[in-house]
Amino acid sequence: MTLAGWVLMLASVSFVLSLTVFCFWKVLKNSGGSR
Amino acid sequence: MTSETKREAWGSKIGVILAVAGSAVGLGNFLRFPGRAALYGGGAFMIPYFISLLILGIPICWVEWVIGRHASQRGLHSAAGLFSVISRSNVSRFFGAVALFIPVVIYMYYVFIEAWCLAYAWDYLVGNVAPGEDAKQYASYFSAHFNAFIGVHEDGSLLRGLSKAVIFLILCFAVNFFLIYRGISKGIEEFCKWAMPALIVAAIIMLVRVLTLGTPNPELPEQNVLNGLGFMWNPKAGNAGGGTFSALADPQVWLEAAGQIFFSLSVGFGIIMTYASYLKPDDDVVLSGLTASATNEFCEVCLGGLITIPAAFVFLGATPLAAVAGSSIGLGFHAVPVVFEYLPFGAFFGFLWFGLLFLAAITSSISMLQPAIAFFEEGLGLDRPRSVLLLLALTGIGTLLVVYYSKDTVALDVMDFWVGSTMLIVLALFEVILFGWVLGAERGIAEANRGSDLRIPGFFGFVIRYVCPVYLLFILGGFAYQNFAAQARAVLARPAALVTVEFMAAVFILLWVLVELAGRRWDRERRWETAVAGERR
Repeated sequence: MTLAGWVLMLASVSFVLSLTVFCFWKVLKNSGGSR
Repeated sequence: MTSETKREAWGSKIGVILAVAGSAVGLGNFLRFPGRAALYGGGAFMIPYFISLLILGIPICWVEWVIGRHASQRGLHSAAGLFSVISRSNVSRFFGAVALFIPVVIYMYYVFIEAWCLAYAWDYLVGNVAPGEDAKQYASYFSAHFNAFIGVHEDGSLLRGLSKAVIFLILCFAVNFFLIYRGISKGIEEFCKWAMPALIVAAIIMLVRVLTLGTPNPELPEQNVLNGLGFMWNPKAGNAGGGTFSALADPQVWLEAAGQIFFSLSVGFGIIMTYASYLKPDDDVVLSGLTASATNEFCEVCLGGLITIPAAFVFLGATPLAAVAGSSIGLGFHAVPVVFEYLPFGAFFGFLWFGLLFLAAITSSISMLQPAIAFFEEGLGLDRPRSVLLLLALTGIGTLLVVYYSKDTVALDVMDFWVGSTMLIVLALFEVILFGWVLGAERGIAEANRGSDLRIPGFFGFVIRYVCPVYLLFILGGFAYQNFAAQARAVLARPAALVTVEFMAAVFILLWVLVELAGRRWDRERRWETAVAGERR
């Protein structure tokens, strides 16, 4: 792995993971359900 | 379901999110994405990939969610109805037929691929995988086994007697139609609520196994997991050579990245808007749409992007891997099985891998059936059992054609190209124009933000109205330039391909006629007369 490879991999994974966690956190926090 | 029947709805927000994510997450997340990224710029691919996610993928997802929820206030769930609520015209009905045609035809071949995954998972579970002791023969064994299993060598070979592929195909049909019969909440939602977490847990186990591979063969020290990650993530020079990020100057890289986002998020299938039509009028769509997209990206980037290529690299090496990376089938069914022969407890991991691919496939395939069920019920007035039987008959005939014309997977490839690739882009183009120019971007964004837990920034109106259509035309143009001539020649050169195209044309005409009949039924039922103020007619 090159430095650029590490940066791109970690940045990509971090971005997606953060977005996913944020979204589910917000869903669960606001959850009233679609009932 | 007649208009008097109790209206179906999702049981929970998490349920609809997992169902939409399930529709999007498929074999492409684990096989197509890693191969494309590795071949088209490596880590540099992620730059056009994320740009496409932000200005193409997510906006079009929101468009579909909004069209679905907005137009469902008439109690309609099929695309023909949903489009007609926004603009009652022949064009809306035509594209309504397109939005019905696309998922039905894709199901016809996708379920066959799903059956392969199930069969392989079964074989690993019961110990049926036996390539012998000579490691040099592994690759050729798995290629030969796969080709024989799916009938690549001769048309009709799978239908002489009850072949294993057909047995598993029947099983897949049974499970799909059982779930769709049970309906939105008791069928699709309940299934996705456990299937999606199970898929993710299985993938995480695979991820841990792959990332801890180290250097399995001391005689081949360069074939280690870090170099495997590098094969995928190190930015590569473009085809014309150049510096580290020179691949970004290659339009092909941008085309591949945009195409990957597009196909990965399952936009342009006509499915998301059908799913969204079962929401209540003030249910959130923005956060739900973003969460479903994020879940898909998690499976693609954080799981698929870290599992497939590194695992294959460690045991196959760079050159053989580069030869198959561009083919999802080659990577998934020829190359990856070789990996399991070298792993301790390889049979367990093989079962886990193909099991998660099966779950990814079936959560997608059930979503492909729902648009037609919704249409048959509300457009033709059929009850659930009759709708299911009609769809079973239609898709059964199509899948039989795919299974019969198995030589070189001609029927499958023809359907995948013309419907599973080209028509998606055309439908998505219609959707963004309907949203951005007919409904109106400002009104559409306001509609999206109604009841939502997250507000769409205003500039997305500009993105949907101007950027998305141009980007889609770029993809369609590039795709057509690269492929149409060769694909058209292939259709004319092979009888099996021509028969497949003729069959698809017949299915489309049938569905179009049915949509026109449904339109007249809705007129008689006065579906349009409970208009929300300001609705166009």
